[in-house]
Amino acid sequence: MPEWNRDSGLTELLKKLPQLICIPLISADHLPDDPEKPRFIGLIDLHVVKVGDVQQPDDRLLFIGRLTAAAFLRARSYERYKIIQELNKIAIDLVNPTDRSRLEERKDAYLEKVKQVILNAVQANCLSIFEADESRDLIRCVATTGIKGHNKFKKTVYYRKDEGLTWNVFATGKHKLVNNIHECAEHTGRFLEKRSLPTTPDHDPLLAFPLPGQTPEGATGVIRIVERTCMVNKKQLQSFSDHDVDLIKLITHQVSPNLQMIRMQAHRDLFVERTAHQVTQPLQGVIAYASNILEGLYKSEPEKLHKKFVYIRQMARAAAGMMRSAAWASGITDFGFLEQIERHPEKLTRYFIDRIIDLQPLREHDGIKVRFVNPDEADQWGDFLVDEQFFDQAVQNLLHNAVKYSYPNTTVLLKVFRAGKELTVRVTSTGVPIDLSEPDRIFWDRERGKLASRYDQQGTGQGLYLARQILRGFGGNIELLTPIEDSRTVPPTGFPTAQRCTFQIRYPEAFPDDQDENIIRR
Amino acid sequence: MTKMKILFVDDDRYEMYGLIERLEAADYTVEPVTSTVIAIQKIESGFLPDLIISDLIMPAVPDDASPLSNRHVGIEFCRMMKEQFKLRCPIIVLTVVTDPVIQQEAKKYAQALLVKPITPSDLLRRVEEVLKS
Repeated sequence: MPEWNRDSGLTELLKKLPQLICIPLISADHLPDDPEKPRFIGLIDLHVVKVGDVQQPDDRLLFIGRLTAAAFLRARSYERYKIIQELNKIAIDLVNPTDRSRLEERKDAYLEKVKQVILNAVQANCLSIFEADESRDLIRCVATTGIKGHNKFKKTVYYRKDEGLTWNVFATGKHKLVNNIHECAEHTGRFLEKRSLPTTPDHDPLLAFPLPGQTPEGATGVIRIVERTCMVNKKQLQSFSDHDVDLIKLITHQVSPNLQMIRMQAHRDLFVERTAHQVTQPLQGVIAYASNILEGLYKSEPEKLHKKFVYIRQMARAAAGMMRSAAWASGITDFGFLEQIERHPEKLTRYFIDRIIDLQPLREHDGIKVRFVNPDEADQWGDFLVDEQFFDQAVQNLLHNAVKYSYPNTTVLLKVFRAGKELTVRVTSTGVPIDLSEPDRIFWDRERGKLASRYDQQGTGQGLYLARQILRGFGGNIELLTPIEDSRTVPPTGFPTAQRCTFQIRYPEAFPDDQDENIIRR
Repeated sequence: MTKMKILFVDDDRYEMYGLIERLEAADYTVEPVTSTVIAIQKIESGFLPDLIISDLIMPAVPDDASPLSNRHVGIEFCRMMKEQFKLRCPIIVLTVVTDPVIQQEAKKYAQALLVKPITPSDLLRRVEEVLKS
């Protein structure tokens, strides 16, 4: 039996590094398709901050986001889960909005607690210990197994002022940590570059997705993980465990502090509260249905069970969309992503039908129907040019609004047709009126229709704003056609006479490759 | 034996029904309403629940004269249930609000306050506790 080395010398060195934050532990024994092949298990991840160089809110958002990513990993080690929980508690404590002391004052205690948890984690798992020396210019970290007699890893992580970071990813098997270094990818570059890691074959979330940060790509880290983890396929869902539900619960708890961090940047309390509310709602749904599945509530009703799987996926999408909105609203990213326009891989009809299915959990209990009208030849119209993820967001925002503000037992009409060289989508719904004096204001950032905010669910006022930004980025647009009063529809108690509103999306179709430059792009 | 009646007030359809299904499976009769206006009307029309479960952040009552403000409508709703309608049934508040000041305010009228996310089983446990006490 190896003797565990709880090297106090190294511990002392680590304690001297208040700016070093690491998440050293990932555990999984083998790749799923090859039990003999050790799977990537250790990511040595450094977040080196020079005091004064990085603004605190950004820095901590990054860190909390990183913890979120780690928590979402389907780790087998319950210990690790507990460690992350502990780290999360500390992070949540830090951003407690009721704490009136200055951030700077809280920083030291916070870092001290984090450091202690990390030290315990490192020692308890004997996975890696960082030997480090620090000057203001250079930080060197060497990973070891913590097993007495074992050599240090050959790879060394350097951070040098003004030169960035040289660092390494170790692929190895946990039980043979030193001998089984299987693959080693080396990345050299400046601090920001380390976030754009290539996807690994086994899609390890920590590698597959960039972590949240100030760059447009980085900001989507948490969101993608939410999507990826919640949009599991049916088979995976059937093997849902209590542990998985706990993890989703954890991430939901995490949403609030994340948004509090965003608040520090955005300085809009009410907006953040609403956003937190809106993100948590669908995640609460995910937890409720996942728990019910676990408890066998739908065991005798396979159809119902299937429906719940659909619900879970769609609610996770909704939550992810909200998280993305929050990140955008906080100025973490901008709309420069639209430079990455590509042909949409899905057929038009299928695409819209899928979006309608997405709305099922929202509309079912109020008897709201969605009718899709499209010409038979729609799928022959050719591809359309989009950035898939963001196009989805625009369409989802519009359809979600249409259903959300519809009165019970009404029908949302989704009509797709072609006008010249543009594809046109019209969404008509009957419900809460839009004040005719504000046709454009509803598209402004964080602005809601006066009547919508008075009569209906709380919203963040971002859905239509984002939809317009995105669609304009594609060279298209979204607008409100003149609404018509509908006195035949019975409004719910206390609600005003219904109005039939039509929103119209226009965007250019894709042309043959040689004409692609005709498409207006940002 | 008569089933216990629960009035469940929450404007969000995503989350409410997952919780309700669990309560119904445990043999409670649950009356879901998506606004405080409808909830108040139900009470006014003689519906007497054994327990009220209410969200805190909900749409305001569409009436200028209403005392319910646009934020944390649930607190005002709970107050009305206790002070105006003199209901003696317990109230459980569900919320995402973590501000202790708001929570304290809600606790004046509610027997229990649960911060979302919660699992249906946790809710059921609290419902049983509150009803027993």
